[in-house]
Amino acid sequence: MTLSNQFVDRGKHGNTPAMTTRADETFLDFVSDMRNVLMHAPNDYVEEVGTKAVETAGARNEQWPECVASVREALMEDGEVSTWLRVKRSLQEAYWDRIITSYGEREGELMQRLEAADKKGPGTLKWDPNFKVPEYATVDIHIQPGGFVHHPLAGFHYDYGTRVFFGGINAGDAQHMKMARKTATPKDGKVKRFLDLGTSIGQLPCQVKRLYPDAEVWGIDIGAPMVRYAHLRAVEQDLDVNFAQMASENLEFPDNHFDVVSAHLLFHEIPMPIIKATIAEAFRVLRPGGVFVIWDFPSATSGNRRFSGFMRTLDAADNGEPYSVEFVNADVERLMTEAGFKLRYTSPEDIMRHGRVGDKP
Amino acid sequence: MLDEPKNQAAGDNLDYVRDLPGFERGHPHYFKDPMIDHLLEIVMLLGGELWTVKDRQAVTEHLLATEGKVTPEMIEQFRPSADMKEKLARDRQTFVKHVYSCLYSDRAKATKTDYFGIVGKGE
Ligand SMILES: C[S@@+](CC[C@H](N)C(=O)[O-])C[C@H]1O[C@@H](n2cnc3c(N)ncnc32)[C@H](O)[C@@H]1O
Repeated sequence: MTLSNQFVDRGKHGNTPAMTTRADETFLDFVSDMRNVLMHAPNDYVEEVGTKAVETAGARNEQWPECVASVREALMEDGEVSTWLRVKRSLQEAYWDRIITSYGEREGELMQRLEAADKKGPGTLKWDPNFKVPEYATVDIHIQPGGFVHHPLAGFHYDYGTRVFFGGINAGDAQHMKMARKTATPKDGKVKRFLDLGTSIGQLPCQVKRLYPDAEVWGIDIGAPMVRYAHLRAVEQDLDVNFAQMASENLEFPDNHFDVVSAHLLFHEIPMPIIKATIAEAFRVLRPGGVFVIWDFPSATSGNRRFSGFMRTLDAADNGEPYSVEFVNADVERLMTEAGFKLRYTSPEDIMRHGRVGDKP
Repeated sequence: MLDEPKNQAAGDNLDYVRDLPGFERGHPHYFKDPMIDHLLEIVMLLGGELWTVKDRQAVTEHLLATEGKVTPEMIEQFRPSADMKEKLARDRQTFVKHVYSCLYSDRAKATKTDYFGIVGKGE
C-alpha cells in the first residue's frame, strides 16, 4: 500500500509505526548500537574518573547554573570524559532529529490517523486545544524538541525515541507488562478503578487493562499530543482505556475514587511544588485502602553516585531534566507520609526503578 | 466521569524553573576547543550515514540474488528474515567497534560486559 504518492507503508514494529524509510530505520539502529558500545561500555570508568575530577576541582553537584558551570569545567580536564559526554549528547540529538524528520515526511497522514482515532472507541479521550500548559512543563525534556507538549506528533516521536533509547528491551511494551504485574494492589485485593499519572503514550494502563479486564482504567498526561497518541495506540489494540489531558497536581476526579494510582518516571520530571501537590491529589482521589505506587529514580545517597554525582547534575542540564536533581535529593517517602500515606514499602528492586508504595488509611 | 479541577492553587512559586540549567536545550560543549566537539559529532553522523549505505547495498544484493531485480519500493518493503536480521546486526556492531573503539583507552573499555569483545579477535 502507498500512503502518499511518495512513501511505501513500512508497517509497524510492535505498536510503533516504522520509520518512513529504511535508511532512517537503519540509521537509528546504528545510533542504538553506538549508545551501547560507546556510552554504556565506559560508564563505570567515566563515573570514577569524572567524580575524581569534580572532587579535585571542589565543584558542587547541585542544580544551580554556577555549580553546573564549574562541574562542566572540571570535567573538561579529562579527554575520555569529554568524549563520553560528547558521544552521549550527540547521539541523543541525532535520534530525535532523525525521528522528527522521518515522521515529518508524512505528517499529514499521521495527523489524519490521530484525528480519525480521536472519535473512536472502545476507550474515551479528552483533550483541549486551549489547555493552558504550565511553563514548567514546556521544557525540551530529554532534549526532545518541543518536549511532550508542543509538537502535535510528540507521542509518535517519544514512542520511537524510547525504542532507540532502550535498545529493544521494551519490544511489545514488555517492560510495562512486567510493571503492571508488579504493581502493588490494595490489601483487600479490589482493583476496579486504576489511574496512571504522567502516562505518556499509555503503555502502562494498556497492560493494566489486559491484567484487569473488568477494571475502569485511566491514563492522564499534561501533553495533548501524548494522550491523543496514547488513545490511538489503545484503539489499535482494541483496549478500553480512557485517556485525558490533565495535570497530576490538579486532577479532575472525585474524592475517594480510585483503588490504585501509579506514576512511573513522572516525579523526576516535575518541580518540587508540583511533586507535593501531586502526592496530595493522589491521596485525595484514592479511596480509603487504596494504594499509590511511585516508580522512579532512587534517591541520592553517597553510595549511589550515578544519582548523587556529576552524572545526574549534567544529565539534568544537558538531557533536559532540570528538576531531577531536586527529586533525587528529596525524601519522597517522607513527603508521602506527610500527605497521609502509610508507607507499605520502598524497594530498590522494583522493575528497573525504585518503587515506593503507600496505602491510604 | 470527570469532575471540575479542585486544586487551582498548585503552580505558585515556580518562577525558579526558568533559570535551571536544562530548562532550555542549549548547545553544550565538552572540550575546551568546541571544534573537537563538532568534529566528533560529524564523525559519528558520517558513520551512521555510511552504515545506511552498507545496509542498502546488502539488501540490494540480497534482492538481486533472490528476486533477480530490485526497485526502490522493494527495498522499502523488504523485511529481512531472522537470520539476515541477525547478520546485519552483527555486521553493524562490528562496524561500530572497529571504527570507534580507539576513542577510549583499554582501561575505559574493560567492563564486566564485553562490549568491545569482537574487535581484535581475528575477524
Ligand atoms: C517519562 S514520561 C512517563 C513515562 C510513562 N509513565 C511510562 O510508563 O512509559 C513523563 C510524562 O509526564 C508528563 N507530565 C509532566 N508533567 C506532568 C503533570 N504535571 N501532570 C501530568 N503529566 C505530566 C509528560 O508529559 C510525560 O509524558
